[in-house]
Amino acid sequence: MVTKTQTPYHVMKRLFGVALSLVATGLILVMTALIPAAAQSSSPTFSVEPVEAGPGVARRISIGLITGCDPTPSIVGNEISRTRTLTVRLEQPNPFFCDQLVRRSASISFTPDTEGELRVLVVTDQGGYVGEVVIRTRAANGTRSPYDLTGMWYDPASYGSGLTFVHGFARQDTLFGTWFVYDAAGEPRWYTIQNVAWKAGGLEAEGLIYETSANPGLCMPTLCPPVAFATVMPVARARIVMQGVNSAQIQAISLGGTVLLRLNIIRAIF
Amino acid sequence: MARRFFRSVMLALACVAASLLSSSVSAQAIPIKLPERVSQITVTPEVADAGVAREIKISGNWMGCVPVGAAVTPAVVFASGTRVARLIFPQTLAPCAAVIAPYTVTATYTPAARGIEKLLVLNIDGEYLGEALVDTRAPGDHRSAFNITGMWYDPQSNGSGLTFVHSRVNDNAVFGTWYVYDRSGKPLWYTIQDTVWKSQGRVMEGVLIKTLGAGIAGCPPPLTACPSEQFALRLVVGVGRARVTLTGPATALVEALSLSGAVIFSSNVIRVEI
Repeated sequence: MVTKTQTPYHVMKRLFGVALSLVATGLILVMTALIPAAAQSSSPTFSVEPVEAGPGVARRISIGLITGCDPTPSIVGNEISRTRTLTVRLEQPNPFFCDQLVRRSASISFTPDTEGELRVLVVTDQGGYVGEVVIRTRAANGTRSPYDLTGMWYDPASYGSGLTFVHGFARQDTLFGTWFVYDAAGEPRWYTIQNVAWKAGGLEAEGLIYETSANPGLCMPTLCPPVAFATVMPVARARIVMQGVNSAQIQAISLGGTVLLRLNIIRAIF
Repeated sequence: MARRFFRSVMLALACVAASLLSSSVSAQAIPIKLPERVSQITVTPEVADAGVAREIKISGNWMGCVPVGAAVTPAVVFASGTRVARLIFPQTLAPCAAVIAPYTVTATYTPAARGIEKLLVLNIDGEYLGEALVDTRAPGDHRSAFNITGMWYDPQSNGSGLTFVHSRVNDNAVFGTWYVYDRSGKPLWYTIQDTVWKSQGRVMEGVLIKTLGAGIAGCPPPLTACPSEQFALRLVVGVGRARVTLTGPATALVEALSLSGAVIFSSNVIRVEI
C-alpha cells in the first residue's frame, strides 16, 4: 500500500481547485438568474391608461422598448379599419443620429367612441411587429358584460346536465346558450337561450328559453341525423346573475314571472 | 425617402385629379363610403415542416393603385411568433384610376423553426388588413390546427348544431355537444368525448355518447325537461363515433360513424360568428 504525503503544495492546489469550482458554480447560478431577466427586460411593454373607461374618454397608449432613438408613434389606417384594429406605427429616426440602446417610451392618445374591445397593433415603420395591446371601453353604467362566458357550465348538484355558452364578448356581446336537460322519461333534451340582453353594470342578463322541434324523421338506427327545425317557441325566460368569472346563478322564470328553477353553476375548466 | 417622395407626389396628383373631377362632374356632394379593406389570405401548403417554402396569397379590393406584390418582413428580435407581410404598391408618377379594383399578390416565406406563427397583412403605412396562421410542424405532430371552441351548424339543417369547448392551450381536449332531434321530432343531444387529434391536427375523432337521465317527474311546467339530480344518471351509451375534419378555421365536415367505423351520416358545418 502506498501512502501519499500531503505537502503544503498539494493542499494549496486542492484548495485552489475547490475555490475555482465554487466560483464557477456561482457564476453559472448568477448567469442563470440574469439571462431570463435580460431577455424579459428586452421585451417591449404596453399599457393603456385608463385601463377601462367609457366611450369618448381619451386613452393613452404607452409603448416601452429598447432602442437607440426616441420613436415617434402615429395612428394609421382609415376610419373604418380603426374601428376593427388600430395600428400604431413607430417612426424611427436615422440610426446615425441615435444614442445608446436604452429603454425608451412613446405614447399616443386615442379616443374610442364605442364600447367593446379594440385591438391595438404596434409595428415599426419598417413593418416589424412590436406587439399588441387591447383597449377596453365600457361605460360605467354600460350594459356590456365584463366576462367572456364562452364555455361549458354546470351545477355540481345536477351533474350530467349543463349549459354551453357562446359569447361574442369582443364583438357585439351577444350570448347564445344551450341547456342540456332530461325529460320525464330520462331522454336527453335541450333548450336554447337567445335574445339575451345585459342589464346596467353587465353582471345580470335576461333572455328567452326556446324549445325547438323538428318534423318526425328517421334515426339510423340509434343515431339521429341533424335536420332543420320545424317549430321554435319561447317557453320561459332565463336570468343569469354573474357572481364571478367562473360562477353564476341561472334562473328559469315562467313568462308570467314565477321562478321555476334556480341553479348555481360553475364553469367547467379542463 | 424616394418611396415617400413618390407617394407624396402621387397623392398630390390624385388630389388634383379628384378635385378637377368633382368640380366637373356635379355640384351636388354625394357621400362615398370607403370600402373596408380586408384581405383574404391563404397559405400553401397549410401545414409543413420547417425549411419548406410556403406561398402566401393575399387578395382583396383596393381603390387607386392596386398592390403589385407582398413581402414578409424580417422578425423583430423580441417579437417571435408573429410576422408581418406588407403589400407593395407601384412606384409611379402616373396617377391610378380612382376605382375599386381586385388584386391578388403572393409572397414566399420559409419558416426556419416549428411552431404556429401569426402572419399579419399590413399595407405600406401599417394599416391592418387581415391575418393568417403559418403552421409549421413535424410530420408526426397531430396537435389541433385551430381552436374549435364555438357554435357550428350546417346551413342545410338549420336548427341542429354543435358546440365545442376546446382546451387547445392545455391538453388539447375537446368536449362537444351535438343538438339534433329524435324520431318524433323532439330535441335530442349527444356529447362527443374522449377526443383524439389525427392527420396533423386536421381530424378529430371521439366517442358519441347518449346520456339518459333518471326520469324526472317534477319538471315545473311549462318546462318538459329539467336538470337531473347528481348521481341520478341512469345510463351513458356509446352510440357511435364522431369524426370532425377541419377544412379551415371556420369550416368542417362532421361525420357520425357506427362503432365499426362506417359513416352513417355527415354534415358540412360552419362556425357561427356572434
